[in-house]
Amino acid sequence: MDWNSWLPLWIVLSSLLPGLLIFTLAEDRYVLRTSLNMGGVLLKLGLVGWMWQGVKAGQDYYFELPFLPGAPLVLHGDALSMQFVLLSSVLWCVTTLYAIGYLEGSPLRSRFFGYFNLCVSATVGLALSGNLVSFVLFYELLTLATFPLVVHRGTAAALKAGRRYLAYTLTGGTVLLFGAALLHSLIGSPVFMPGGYLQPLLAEHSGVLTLAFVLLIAGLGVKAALLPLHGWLPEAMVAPAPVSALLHAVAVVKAGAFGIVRVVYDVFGVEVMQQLDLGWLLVVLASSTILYGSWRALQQQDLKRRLAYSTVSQVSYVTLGVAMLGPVAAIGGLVHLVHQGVMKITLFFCAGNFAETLGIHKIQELNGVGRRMPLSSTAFTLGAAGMIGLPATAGMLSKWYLATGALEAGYPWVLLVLLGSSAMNAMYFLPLLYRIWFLPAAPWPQERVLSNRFETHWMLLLPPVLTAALVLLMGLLAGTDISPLSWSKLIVEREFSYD
Amino acid sequence: MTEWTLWLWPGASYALPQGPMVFWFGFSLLLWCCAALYSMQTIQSRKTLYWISFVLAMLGNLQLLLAQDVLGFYLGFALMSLSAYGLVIHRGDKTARQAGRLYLQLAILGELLLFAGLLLRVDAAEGALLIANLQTIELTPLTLTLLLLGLGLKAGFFPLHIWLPLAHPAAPVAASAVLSGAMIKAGLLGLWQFLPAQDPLLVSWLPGLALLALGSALFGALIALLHQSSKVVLAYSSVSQMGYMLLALVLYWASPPELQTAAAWLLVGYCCHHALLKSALFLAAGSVNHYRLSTWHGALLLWPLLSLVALPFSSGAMVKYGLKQGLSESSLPALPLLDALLAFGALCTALLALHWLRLAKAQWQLPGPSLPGTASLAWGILVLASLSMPGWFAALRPQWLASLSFSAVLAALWPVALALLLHWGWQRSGWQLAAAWQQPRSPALGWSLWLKAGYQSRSRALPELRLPAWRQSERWLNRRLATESLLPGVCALLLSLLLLLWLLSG
Repeated sequence: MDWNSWLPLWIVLSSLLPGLLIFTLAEDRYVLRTSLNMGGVLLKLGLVGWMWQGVKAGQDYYFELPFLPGAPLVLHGDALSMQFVLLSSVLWCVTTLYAIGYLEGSPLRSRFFGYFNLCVSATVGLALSGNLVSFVLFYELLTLATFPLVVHRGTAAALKAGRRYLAYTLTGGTVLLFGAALLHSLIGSPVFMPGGYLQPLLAEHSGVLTLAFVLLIAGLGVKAALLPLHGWLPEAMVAPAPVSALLHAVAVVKAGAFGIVRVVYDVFGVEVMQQLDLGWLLVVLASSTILYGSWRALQQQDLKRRLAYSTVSQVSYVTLGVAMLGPVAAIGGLVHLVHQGVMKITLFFCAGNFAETLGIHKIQELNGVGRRMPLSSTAFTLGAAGMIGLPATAGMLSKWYLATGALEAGYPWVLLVLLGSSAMNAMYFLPLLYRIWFLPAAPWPQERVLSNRFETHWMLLLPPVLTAALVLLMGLLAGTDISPLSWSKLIVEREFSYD
Repeated sequence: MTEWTLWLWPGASYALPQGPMVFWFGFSLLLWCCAALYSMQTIQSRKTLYWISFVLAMLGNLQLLLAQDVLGFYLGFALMSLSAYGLVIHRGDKTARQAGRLYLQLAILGELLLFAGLLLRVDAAEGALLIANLQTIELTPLTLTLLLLGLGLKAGFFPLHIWLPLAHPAAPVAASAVLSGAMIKAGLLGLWQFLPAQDPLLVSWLPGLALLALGSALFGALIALLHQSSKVVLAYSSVSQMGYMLLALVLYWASPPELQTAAAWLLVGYCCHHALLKSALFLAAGSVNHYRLSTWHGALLLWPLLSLVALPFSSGAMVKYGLKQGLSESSLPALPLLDALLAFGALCTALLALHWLRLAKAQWQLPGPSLPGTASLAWGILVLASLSMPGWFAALRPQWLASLSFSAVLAALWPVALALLLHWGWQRSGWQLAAAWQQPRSPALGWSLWLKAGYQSRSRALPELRLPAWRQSERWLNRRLATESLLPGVCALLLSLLLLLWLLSG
């Protein structure tokens, strides 16, 4: 048995098995459940780290299992999947810690953490999927695994949001399935490869290919919250804070964005995209989503809703970068996949901390939080600065590469979109920072003492502090070998250097 | 050149300052140190906010002076601009908040324009990130406009000055000193570094820029006469002086290559001269307003003024003479009435100085605590540096010597004498400006409010939510399911699943 070919499977199983075990645990088995959780997450992190080393050195990780006729279940670790796998496992690690702190003492924890682990397995599986059929499979699994998390609180609003979420994503999944089936009927489901595998069909079937592209993007666009399909995302913010953090940063929206990256680069490929003249469509769609999301975020008075609309806008940066079909823009889009995740998860952690500790949900209740919760507020500030794209944060680098790429790829007007979105980001984040730091404190809506030593429970405090530090480090040390920027450059090198 | 390339962001590179930049770095550092010294005992409230903003702004300013790459400069510039917001609103009252809002809005706007400008430049240079690489790339009208606006918003010359007369007076004096002395110069430095001299497009725009600079010089000094607050007068004086510095920069861009070094020294000399005297004046204004002073403080108060009106032997005479001489020798298309305009500018500056002196005198020796020793020390150091500048700024020694010739002294003195006469006549006649003209309110505050209303629109509130009844039965079911007996069963299932996987993958 070849160890390398089993590694992708072990990475998926390292959270699937603990997840299934957790389902069976009684509510009061706190220690066992927490050790299973953390053990699985740390094991996964170790395996992913190993695989990352290997992929960097050019090692190939390939696992295959018969699944459908002509379409095996393939798990394949390449540079692009490593970007997403690494992002999800690192952020999942901090979120698990956060969720343990957040849900302490609340009911139904076993159910929650069970699905929580299924969710990460689906995400990682999706990242490692080696062909379109496996991708669709994990994509659907992800939908099913996240639904119980969205409705976890069981309130009317949560159930309503959950129904909406299911309606959107299941329809999206069906459309995606149609697209994938269409392509499968034409050429089967070969392994994803840089440059795509549709070149031979181009001459005869260009119409069908366009149709398949539209179907795939429509299916993926639901999760990536592209413009007409974004309706579920702001509703889904009724979920508990760690779930929102994951939905917005890693699991669901990123799965959609990652899918778009896969479809554009590894199914269709840049050349086919150019010959079918499909890129501009996606660019326009992404640009309008960016502006629309920022504009709607401006109008929100609820902290989490504002962050949710901000996600709608920011995730489309990834789509934008990929759709422009130039190498530099691709670096911008791919690096934003990571940067946006880390920045947005920081913001959601902080919003959760404000809500848990002080009962703050509305923006006007934020006055003077900076003095009561300095660390969370600093983390929030860093996350917001990253979103605006202020220098020294990770966000500025994404913006820089996207804008340079836009000029290089011949879309100079995209620069205006980026600037406009930055300006609106400043407009909806800076007033928050002003309230947090400069206004005198009002009585908090509902204060709870969660810790005697820190401003809040340490498990709630540590994750945002860590991710905020990452926001800064990814910006300042972007030139080093281990930065997401360098890795994105590596991906682009491999994706664009095929023959 | 000592240069370090670091593993920071792509292209990050630093170098020790060289040539004229040594002085630029030196006066910035001195200003920040003196401002910190002055703040030590004069800042009594919201100390954490003040010092965090102060240190961050200082780091940003020094970083942008050392950075050799585009992103490093941009980083320092943004850090400095945004942190200075904490200094502007430190007082916390309504005026300060309004000034701060306008400041921040324009800082962000400037930031975005600068970003776009730099981006287009780097793109034109095919991704080269060092500032030195941009020098051979031709400007386009778009990039030139973006850079002029983005950096000009910080430099604060007319008509991009609108935030300056509001923000500088609102900040504590030590912060105003660095704002006026060091930070607005960063905008000028950016223009100097990012716009290549001899660029055909830039050269064709130079007459317009020279007119703008002269306009700014006159406009600032004239508007200052309408105001009755000593710090506002100083802020408008900064607008006026930035006009002169822009003129020096235009002179640098217009000089042929063999004269460029001299022009660069003149530009840095002017910046250094203004930085030292204006920060000393701001400290003087704050000290007079809030503290009781000894008689010898009067000397500290007077000297920078003499330097401002360019009396012989002062650094002002040196740089003004250098500027005049440079303009007359330059290849700029001859501006009509240039000499007359410069003389009129000198007259306005002298009037401004007298006006300010009158305002300061009205505050002199009002009851209050005496000025702390550290504050006196900081103020004294700045005045001393300003006083001795002709001594240590060797590059402009010839200009200084030439400014002592009879004709030059005469040319420097008559506007001052005329201003004295006018001021005396004005005081004697007791003539007052019409009320509508006094303390004109800036229209910019209205624009700022309008913008704020735009981004603070509200949406409807969400309805309250209730827990459904069936939730109880779900909990009961969950309790029943979550029993220990399930554990072995699931384990067995998982193991068989693994076995199956292993068999299938064979």
